[in-house]
Amino acid sequence: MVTEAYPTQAPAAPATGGGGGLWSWISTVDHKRIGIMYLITTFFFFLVGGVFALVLRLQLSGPSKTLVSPETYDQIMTMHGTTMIFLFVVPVMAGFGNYLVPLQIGARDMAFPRLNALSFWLLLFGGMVMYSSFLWTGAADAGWTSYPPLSVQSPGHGQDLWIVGLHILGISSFIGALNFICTIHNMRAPGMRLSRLPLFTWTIDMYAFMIVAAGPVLAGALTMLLLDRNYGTSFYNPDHNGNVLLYQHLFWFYSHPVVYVMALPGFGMISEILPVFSRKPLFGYRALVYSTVAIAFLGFLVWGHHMFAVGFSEPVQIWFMLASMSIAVPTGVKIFNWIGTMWMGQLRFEPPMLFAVGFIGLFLIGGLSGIMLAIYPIDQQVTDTYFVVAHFHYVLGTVPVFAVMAGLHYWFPKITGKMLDRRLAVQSFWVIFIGFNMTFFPMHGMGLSGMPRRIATYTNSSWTIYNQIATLGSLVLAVGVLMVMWNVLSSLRSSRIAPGDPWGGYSLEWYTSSPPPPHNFDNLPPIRSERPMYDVRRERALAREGAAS
Amino acid sequence: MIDKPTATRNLRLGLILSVLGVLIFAATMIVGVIVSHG
Repeated sequence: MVTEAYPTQAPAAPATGGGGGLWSWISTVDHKRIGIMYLITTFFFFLVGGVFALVLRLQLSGPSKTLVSPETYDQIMTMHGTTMIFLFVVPVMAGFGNYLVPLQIGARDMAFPRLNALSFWLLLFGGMVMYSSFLWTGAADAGWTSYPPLSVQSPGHGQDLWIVGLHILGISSFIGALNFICTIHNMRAPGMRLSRLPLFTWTIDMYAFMIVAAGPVLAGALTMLLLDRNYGTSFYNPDHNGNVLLYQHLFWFYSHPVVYVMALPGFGMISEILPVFSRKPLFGYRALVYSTVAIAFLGFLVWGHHMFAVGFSEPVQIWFMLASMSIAVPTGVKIFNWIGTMWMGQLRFEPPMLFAVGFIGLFLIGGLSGIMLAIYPIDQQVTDTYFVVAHFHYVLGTVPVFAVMAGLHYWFPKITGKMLDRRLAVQSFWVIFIGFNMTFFPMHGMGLSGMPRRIATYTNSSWTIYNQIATLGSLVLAVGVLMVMWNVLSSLRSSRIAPGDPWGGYSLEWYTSSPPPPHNFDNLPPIRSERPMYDVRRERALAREGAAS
Repeated sequence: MIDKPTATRNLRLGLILSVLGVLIFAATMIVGVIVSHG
């Protein structure tokens, strides 16, 4: 049997505006170019956020250090968290989604290409507005959570620019999410049923729904904060009978789902990579889809576990504890299914697989400390200590440093048409793995011995050794990240040409050339399962066998 | 170019999601007013 092919729409004029000049990139509405611009911009912000982190770590490398003033420390700490979450992890998923979702579902482009370009430019503009505060009166300094009353009373306009910048970023991610939902639900190729969607596309769908549902809540919370700061209202201002807890409820109603907005596409990347490098189908495709939907739903019910210390009544504490622990069930399903996928597989430890396996192990550590923090008597003991910092870096730090890196190494050949240097990629994995654990594992010890988070310095010498290891680790981690960046830049100029399907992938993006043409596909194979490329290769092999006999 | 039925479906879904977003934003503001001034 020979693979039949459905012709796609006739190749249109390049949506990039033609040519390869700067203007063609600025004016592009092509999802691949927009995806690349997202990736370049967000990785730039990742490096900036990383530099902020190094300053924080150097300041804390010993007691009573004076590398930066406490005021500067607060600003850098605030902008580190804000940059990593709102300018890197959330939008980098939009970058991968932009590039990959239309390819994975067999579409020509996103549903609203011009709106797609607007999302990207708003991301850049929002980041610039936020960063412009450094040039004026200093950046926001109330932490990435910006709790009142501190954020209401914070002097200068840094906090205002933070709020306005976040509003712009919120609009960017909202219209991006709307575009993903319309694309995934209305633009799929014939045969690409929801039950055959690649896991990465499924997770981008849930990512988008969560942004649509949660984003406007943060917009409302920030609008009230801006009004309190500038127009004399008293939503949160306790001096005028405002309610400071109102902000915390609204902020975490948005920000806990955003934990899964960041994590779910990372899970999707892992679910794409493991079966390919295990030479097996994904174990429990449906269970992984249902667990993705379950995590997205449960993510809206657990915000109160960030507020255990504010004095909820016991039934409310118990509710948030049990609801938070219940998320371990669908997350556990994912981890068991990933292990089941690798079990008895023909494992190939190529760089994407190394980063993927590293992610599973380290995310599990963060998941286990998450279970501990969901138990409110334990949480009350370690609230606002470095134990919490350790936990969320093992959960949210592993997503960019391992899952996104796995995705970068996996799809780099598709995006650029070049292969990365394998040896350097493997080396960079091990440097990152060692650096990450040196940085964040000692923070469990710091927290359990009582070191508070968000302090610019300390005098307790028993915390010194933990901090020295963490600072050394952060430098190792930085070297590892720079090795990846060097690998990316040098590979772009290398002669290692990538074929259309260098890994033996299963999803549809591997059917087209690397990089794909402006119209994505000349034709599409019939889609009969969640592994259309496996079906294509199998049918070609059967055809060859038939011809030989 | 997207065919007209798909474009219509995209527009309808996009509008529904936009209205949903505006309603959630308005509901948040109403909750804020009630909690702090109610």
